[in-house]
Amino acid sequence: MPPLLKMIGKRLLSALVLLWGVTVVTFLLVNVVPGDPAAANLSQQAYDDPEIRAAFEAKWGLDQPIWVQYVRYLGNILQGDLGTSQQTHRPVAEDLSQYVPATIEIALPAMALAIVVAVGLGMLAAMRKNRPTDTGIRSAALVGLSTPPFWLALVALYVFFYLLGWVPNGGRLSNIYDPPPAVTGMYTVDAAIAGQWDVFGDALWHLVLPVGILTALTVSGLLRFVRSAMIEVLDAEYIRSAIAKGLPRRIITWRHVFRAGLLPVLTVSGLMLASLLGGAVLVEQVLSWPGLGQYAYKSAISLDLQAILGVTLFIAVVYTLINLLVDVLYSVIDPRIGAK
Amino acid sequence: MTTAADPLLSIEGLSVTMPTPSGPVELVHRTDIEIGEGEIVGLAGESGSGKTMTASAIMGILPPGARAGGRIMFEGRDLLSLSRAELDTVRGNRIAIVFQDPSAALHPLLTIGTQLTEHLIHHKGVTKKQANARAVELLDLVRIRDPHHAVKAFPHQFSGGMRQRAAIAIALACEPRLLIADEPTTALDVTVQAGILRLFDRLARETGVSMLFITHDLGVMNSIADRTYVFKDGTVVESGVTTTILNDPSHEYTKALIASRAQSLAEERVQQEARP
Repeated sequence: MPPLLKMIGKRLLSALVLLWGVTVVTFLLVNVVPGDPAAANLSQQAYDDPEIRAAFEAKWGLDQPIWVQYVRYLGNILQGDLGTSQQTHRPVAEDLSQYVPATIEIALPAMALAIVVAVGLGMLAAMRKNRPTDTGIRSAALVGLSTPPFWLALVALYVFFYLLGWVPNGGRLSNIYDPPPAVTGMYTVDAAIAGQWDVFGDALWHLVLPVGILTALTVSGLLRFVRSAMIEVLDAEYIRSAIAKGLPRRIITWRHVFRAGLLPVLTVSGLMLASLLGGAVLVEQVLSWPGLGQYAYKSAISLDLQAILGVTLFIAVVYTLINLLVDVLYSVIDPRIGAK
Repeated sequence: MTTAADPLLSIEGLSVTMPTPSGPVELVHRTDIEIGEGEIVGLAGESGSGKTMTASAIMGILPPGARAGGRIMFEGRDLLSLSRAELDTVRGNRIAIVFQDPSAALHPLLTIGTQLTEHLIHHKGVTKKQANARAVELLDLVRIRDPHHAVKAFPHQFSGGMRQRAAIAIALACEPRLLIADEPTTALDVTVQAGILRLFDRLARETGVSMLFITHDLGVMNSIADRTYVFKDGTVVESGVTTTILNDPSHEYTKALIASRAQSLAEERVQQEARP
């Protein structure tokens, strides 16, 4: 598979250049924002202590020319040092390692479920184009698309927690349980690793509502893409060829239509996953889910510069990696791309 | 009604109607066509005359909304009255079609091998291994070089002419009794058209398959078809032995078609001579 590896290598290289560009922009942003970084980052007490202040300034090279500062900043990032959050007084990297897994834990299952549901319903709608099934599916998607996320979260919480009592009222774990020993930071995975099955069950139970809501929101957006992509494929001449070959509908649907319609869906899914991994602020807020969205939101309203930069960098990395993944999958599915 | 033996395919009073915003339009009306065993029958006429609609009606692949009336008798059954499942045992198996543009008709994401074997496995119940061996044979039959390698290739790795050869191999996979070729050389370079025509001619002789050959090009018709039906505005205006029709056309439209063919030949000649 040398052409594929070569392609991946090339993309990785350009991804690195892209990420380097992101560090330049974020660094310039820090320097454009007026104010004393020491004052912004240290607590009042620490700021008043000349020794701490000098140490801070030396660490970030604030007494040095700007390009030296940048090199230092880049060096710190490469060592995993994203600075200290003004708000939590902890290293931003440590904060991220706590909030990001919480977001991943709801984003990945939501995306996976959304793809399955959206592809299924989207293909069904495409094959029943302009018939009642199609109209029903499209109307449902439109309703989903026009529903504000926080409203959906509130109503879901009201119905499924308050009225039915099927799900907990938010959070990642019931109070009676301690988080499992951290390995991945995802409670379900960590509990399974530690063999704490009661904690695993409780963590899973807490996932139901946030994952359900994110899935519903993602499905409505994705479905329309799947439907239009599949309709285009169904009109293609090679599908007429497949019908003229007398193939069973099952083979035509999955081998001929599905595969060809998947390509445009893949791109959109990648972008949606990246957006989910960036955190769903409103849903996380309503369900008290301590994910990246909440962290980003809190950092933004308190002008916690290092934290904002950390989140920005993280999201840039996520988008870059997911785009890389989509490119690779594309060339696996479509031989015409790998050949270039 | 029939000649010596029963014809292989007999189209009786075929009409195809298409709904439009201004009411239904009849694209093919009261058309009768017969194709005998081992015969190559041509369907000539300009684009929009209903040739492709006739082929689509046989294969059950009319555009959405279009309706076919009349009868299409094949092996004792009326294809127009069959259910989808019943029709699926005929098409791709007993009757196969080669479309105009192989670049569009072949699936871009499936290997030539898959596209050659999937209906073979389905219709004939052969194993994958047997089907693959047959695929290599078929590619060899249509003169594609290095068939062992070609089965693993994707359509984009082929030239236009090779793609059409592959599409012909796909159509022949189940050893159909009738092969429909719908303008199979129109989308190809002039340089490869002759090769594809010779291939059809050879295949007809070697395999004994009957053919319905659709073209707007009377020159092509002359070189391949035993008998020809001339189509105009959705119906047959003249039919008979190809050479007779071309040498002694009785219908004004056929005469006009021949004249335009002669004119385009003359223009080609002038262009060729103008080149250094």
